[in-house]
Amino acid sequence: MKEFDLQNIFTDVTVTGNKNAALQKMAELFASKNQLDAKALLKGFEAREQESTTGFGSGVAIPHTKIAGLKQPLVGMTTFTQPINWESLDEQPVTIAIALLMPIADSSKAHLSVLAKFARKLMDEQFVADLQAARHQAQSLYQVVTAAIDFD
Amino acid sequence: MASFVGITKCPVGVAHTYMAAEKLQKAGEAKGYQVKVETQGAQGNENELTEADIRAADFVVLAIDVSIDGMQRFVGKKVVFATTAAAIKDSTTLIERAQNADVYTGSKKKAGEEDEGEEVEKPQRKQSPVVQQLLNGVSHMIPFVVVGGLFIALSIAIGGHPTKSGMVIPENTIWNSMNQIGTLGFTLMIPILAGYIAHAISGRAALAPAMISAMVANSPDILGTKAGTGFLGAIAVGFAAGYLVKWFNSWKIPQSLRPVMPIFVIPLLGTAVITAAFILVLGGPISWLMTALNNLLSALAKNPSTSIILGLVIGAMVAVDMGGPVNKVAFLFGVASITANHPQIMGAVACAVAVPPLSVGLATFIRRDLNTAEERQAGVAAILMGLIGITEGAIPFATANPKHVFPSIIAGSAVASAIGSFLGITDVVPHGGPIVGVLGATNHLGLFLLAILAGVAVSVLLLAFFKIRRAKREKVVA
Repeated sequence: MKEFDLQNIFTDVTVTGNKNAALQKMAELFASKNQLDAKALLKGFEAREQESTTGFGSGVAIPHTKIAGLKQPLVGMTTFTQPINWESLDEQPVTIAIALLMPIADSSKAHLSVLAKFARKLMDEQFVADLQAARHQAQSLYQVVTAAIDFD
Repeated sequence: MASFVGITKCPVGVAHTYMAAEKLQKAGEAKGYQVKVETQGAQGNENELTEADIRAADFVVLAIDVSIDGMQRFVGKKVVFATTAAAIKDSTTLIERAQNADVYTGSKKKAGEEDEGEEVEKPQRKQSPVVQQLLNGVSHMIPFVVVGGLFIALSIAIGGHPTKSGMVIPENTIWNSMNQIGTLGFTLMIPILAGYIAHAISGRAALAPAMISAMVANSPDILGTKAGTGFLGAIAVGFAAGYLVKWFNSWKIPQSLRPVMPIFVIPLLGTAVITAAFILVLGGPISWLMTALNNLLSALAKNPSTSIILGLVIGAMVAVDMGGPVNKVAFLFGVASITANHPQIMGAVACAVAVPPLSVGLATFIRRDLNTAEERQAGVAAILMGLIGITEGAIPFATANPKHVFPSIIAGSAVASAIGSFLGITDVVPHGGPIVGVLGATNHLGLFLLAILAGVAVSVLLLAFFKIRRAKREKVVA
């Protein structure tokens, strides 16, 4: 299993409703693809959103949580046909949600540092613009991300 | 260069910690700051702030959602508190707020509660007031050292000719003017150092007594000695004037007299007391010390079998006060050896003088992250001064960090001189550093440079060792 894989990118997902509906949809998608517990995943996402919103602006959110059953961190992406109100920092609705899933047990530093790099990269306006431009095509999204970050 | 430091930390430590750090970095650099942000995330603390970073920083930005490690590091700094979200959303505003933030005082922790260290050099989180006062003097002095040193170095390198009376720059040339300007810069360095040490202790009223007294302490004619007291004397004057004025300020003065105290009474009284003390109390001992050292060197020089010891002593003397009386004795002894047609001793001096500035400069390139921006810039200037044989380039470093710098440069200079002495290096120009070798004043350029290099290697190794050891200790405490 790879940390970031084409099969964990879901483009143009239709969600009717708010952030909770979107999180539920994401939990279902990633759970079924990676043999995880969808309910636990949703609970984790929701708990993190309650601390503070993960919608950091520019139409992108990064819901994240620890989850049982993973051996290494996992990055997944979901893009939405209809922008979702995420109570983002810039109050703009979200079109791309990037899920960061981490194992419960402490993971190795190397894995975590990839996620850290990804997080830093999201502060690059050009990178976010490239993501937005590629958001209807899983293959292009995959290329934009892997061009910027080295996953193993 | 303006700089700030920051720490970011979010609950999970995977994403927002790093996003906030990145944003602060970018926004800060866009505003022209040098930025260093420590991340306290799930991978542990990364890019950790050193004491030097914090000391150099104009302010501190904390973008933290939970409490962080090592808050006590920021006592005495301007600190702004915010969340990671605030930093991600708008770091620019956050930085602007931090520029005028309140000074963090920390929770009062009783001193002496911690186990009393057996080590003398227990790393301290908070600098003692004495060190802060000293550093205030050093940071004001550095520009003068840099300007003075580089003007002198360039003018000698380009316009100087080696002669029996030293590196002579023909009169009425631009290089001659430049050299004189540089000399003024060096002359001012002494009162500036003393003045701003005193200023840090008791404010403006202490400036005049400290600066005037420092000039007196550096004027052999007034002191009645063959040499001034150099920068060590300036430090003594700075503290003496600072605390004397502080004591004056504690006097109970009638209201009507108060306005004239800081502009009239205190400067007059302070200058009179301190200059008198230097002339009456210190003039004699300095003369005696210089004579005694001179006799020691004469005794050593008589016996050819002690040439290595003579070299060690001369090298140590050159580095011990860099332009003060001890250094002067060694230098004048070298000069005398030229006239006596025995220029080996000047050769030993010439090897030693380059070692302190070259070493402190080169040492800033080892683990460069442990040095402040100020030190890095002063380091480059120090290297240039070292090449031209201007020992004074090392003074800011020695003043700021005497416990580490003095042993290192004294050892290195002693080694350089001893090797020079052993190899029989001669120098017929009363000046030192690689430049005299390049200009052909020594008998063997290769061996001359070898002696200098050996000394520099010793000093740099010691400096790097001390620096890294201190950083490690700080880390253990943090």
